[in-house]
Amino acid sequence: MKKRTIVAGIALLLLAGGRLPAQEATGDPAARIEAIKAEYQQARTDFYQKYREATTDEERQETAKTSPSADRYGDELLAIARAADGGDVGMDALLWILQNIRTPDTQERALAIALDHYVGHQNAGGLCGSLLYSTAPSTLKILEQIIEVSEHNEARGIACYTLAQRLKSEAETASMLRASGPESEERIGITSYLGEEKATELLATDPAKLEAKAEKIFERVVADFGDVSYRRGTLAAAARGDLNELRNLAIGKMAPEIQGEDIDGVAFKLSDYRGKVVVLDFWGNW
Amino acid sequence: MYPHERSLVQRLENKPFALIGINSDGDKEALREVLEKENITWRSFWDGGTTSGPIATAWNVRGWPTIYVLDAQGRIRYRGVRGEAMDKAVDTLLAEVERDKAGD
Repeated sequence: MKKRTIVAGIALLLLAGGRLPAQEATGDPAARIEAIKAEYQQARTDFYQKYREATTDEERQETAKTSPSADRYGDELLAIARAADGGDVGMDALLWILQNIRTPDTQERALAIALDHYVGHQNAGGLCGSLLYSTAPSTLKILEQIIEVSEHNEARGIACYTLAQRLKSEAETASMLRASGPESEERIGITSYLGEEKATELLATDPAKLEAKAEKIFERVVADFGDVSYRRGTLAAAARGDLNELRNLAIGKMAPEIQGEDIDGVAFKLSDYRGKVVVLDFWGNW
Repeated sequence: MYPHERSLVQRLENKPFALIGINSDGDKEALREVLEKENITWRSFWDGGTTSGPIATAWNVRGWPTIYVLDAQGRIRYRGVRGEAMDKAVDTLLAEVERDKAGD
């Protein structure tokens, strides 16, 4: 787990800034996007190497200041996306922005362009992966627009599923906010992530209502978009997993039995521990 | 994570408490080394060497670590609590056990 904390730390540092010499734009937007991807990838590789080679905390802190930022490509890629007017090159630019640039302002500008030109694109579903936890104000609007206007079943299904997942995760956040005190670490963390306004709104929202809304949309995903492929399965399988979680794994439900074997192949089950308070920890050493 | 869990398990050694892992690692031998090195004494289900094993799938787990805290009756009482919040959740439920015992 320690390893992951370090990687997360570096990811945060990557967002913090750092500048590289800019290159001249070429006339071909597709080639320009490839060049940007390659340049940024190289800068990251170099940075990670330098970071790994640092031997003292002080050196690591100094190195962290030089972390490459994707922000510097924002304006150029936004211009490419706008000019491409719904074409594949523009979609590629938008996807890269949403995946790599976390500045809310740039994300919002990318979504505005997406709303104008790309909701009908056949890969609009690809945008949704970046919209699951996005705090940009237009996130909901774009998901709703894809569901409403797209002629591509896959894009509509993925947008619908993403919408349901967002509601489910908002329900979780709402209950976490309710459970934590005003000065608690959790409350402060969530508020700084979501922004004061959204956090206040969620605190005033009944988590059960959000869950009920999410449940309805997951059901729609199963009924209307069930056969769309998603990850290693279908949207129906994914949405059924979420429905199972909402219905059977919610706070207050009896924990489903777990039967299995430990690392040494010895069989045991969760109910062996009845009478004890149990922390169930789904973990992996990565 | 490990040091925190270790201290929780040590602190509650004589209490009606158990930390149970569901491990989704791919390599059992590498995992054995981690258990040894990190002094992980609590028991884990081996979920078939994949993140899409039967237990993680049944519990719809898509991010790791995922934490559930169950009361002594086996009811789900908390999810997603970490660090101090996990300790507080466990202490609250242990106090319930004490209270129920006193009430008997």
